[in-house]
Amino acid sequence: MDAIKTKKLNKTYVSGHFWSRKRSVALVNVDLAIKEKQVFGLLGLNGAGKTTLMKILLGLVSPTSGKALVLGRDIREASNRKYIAYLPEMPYFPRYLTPREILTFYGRLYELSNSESKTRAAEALQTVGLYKRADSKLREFSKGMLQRVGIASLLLNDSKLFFLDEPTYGLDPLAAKEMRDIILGLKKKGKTILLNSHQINEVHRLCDRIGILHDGRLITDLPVSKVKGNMEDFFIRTVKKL
Amino acid sequence: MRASAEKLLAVAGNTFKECVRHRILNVLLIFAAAMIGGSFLIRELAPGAEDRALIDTGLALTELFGFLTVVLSLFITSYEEFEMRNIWITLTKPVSRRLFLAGKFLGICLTVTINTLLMLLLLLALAGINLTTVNLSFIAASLGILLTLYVSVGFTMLFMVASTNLTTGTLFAVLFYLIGHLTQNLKAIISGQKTAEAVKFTATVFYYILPDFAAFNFREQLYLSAGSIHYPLLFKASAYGLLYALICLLIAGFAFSKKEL
Repeated sequence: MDAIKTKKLNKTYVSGHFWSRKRSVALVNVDLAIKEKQVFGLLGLNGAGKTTLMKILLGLVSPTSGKALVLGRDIREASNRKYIAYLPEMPYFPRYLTPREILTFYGRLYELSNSESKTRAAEALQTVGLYKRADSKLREFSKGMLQRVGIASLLLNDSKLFFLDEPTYGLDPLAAKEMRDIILGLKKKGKTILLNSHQINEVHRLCDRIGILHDGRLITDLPVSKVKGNMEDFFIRTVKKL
Repeated sequence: MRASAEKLLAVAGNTFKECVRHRILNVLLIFAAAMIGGSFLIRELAPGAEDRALIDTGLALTELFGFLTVVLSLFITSYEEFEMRNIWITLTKPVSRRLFLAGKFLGICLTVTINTLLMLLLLLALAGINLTTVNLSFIAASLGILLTLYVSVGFTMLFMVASTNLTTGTLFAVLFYLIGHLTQNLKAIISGQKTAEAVKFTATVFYYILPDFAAFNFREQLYLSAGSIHYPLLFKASAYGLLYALICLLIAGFAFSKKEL
């Protein structure tokens, strides 16, 4: 089964007042199929539509037309989001809560009991090396530490599908390596991952398949093994061709 | 059903924690306490009616600072959710937008209730020091303030969700709060014998759309009815307030479910 499937997905943002409407096309007829247990890397220049595609797949934005199914279901239905996890680029959390509290809160939204949520939150914080700071206020945290809390939030539930938007953004080299190890660990466990990243080498190392979005169109979708030569050169060649 | 109730309580608890720990809201509470304490001095300006000056000023300040708590709590939490985008992580969990909003409503109401009760306790303590007799109607007056604030939570939430930016939403909420204290005047227009039918109709429509805060004002009874509570009136006001807040919440839920994040 496809973990993610889109059919003729279109998104046009409309802004301004009714007398001066502005339209900007974000996605054009995107047909995408990501198989279960696959790690898919989504590449593209800034403004290519990567975040919009991810937001539609997460149910944060509605498509203008077309269909998007996640784990075979319409993700806009809350109950269908039970087995997905999402890490945004630069995650931000309520400043006056602690990592333990915010993770316990997310656990409860995943329908875990209070005690189970607390246990999983502690385990996740241990995994990302933040257990000692579990009860510090999040406003005291650096960008990299917030990213680690975000990573911990991925590990709370036994999710099947992970959406990772620039997961190593703001991390120091050691933490970035740990993040890559976590992704590889998820891959080994047979999880499906949609990875949105500008770090082409990271995508090369972690992904089974890549897709390149350019001006809202999916211009390339192929297995990483079929990329000839250097991945970075391949990406630049593909985008410059258009 | 049980899972939804647990999520609702989790969102409410989380919102409450966020609000009570926020430095700005703590400073506001301290400032409110200082101002209410100041009403102890204001009574000196009303010789012969010191008791009434103390209680009236105290209750008016409690409502005003309660409303500021509503607006600031919603602005701060909404800013973090929408502008800093922490809502993206929350709403990708199995929780519906309507349920999230309902939980937030409960959390803000709880914050406002506790802050208001603290201010009222301070006022009672001041009344005790001043040897002012406070009768049972004080409870009705306090409930009236809470109802005003719950209604305010409802429409402030609606404006913040429906408007394109939080500042516009806040501005609308403040205007609505001010107009809500004048709505009673529309009744005079509606019942005026020389008023044109079209004007009467328009006034009636506005009367039902705008909140009527006069319905929650039981402060006069503190001095008129010798301490008795007019229960039917209190019940009617509670039903009106809760229904108004619920309708605001339902419309806000609809707008939020369509909102692109």
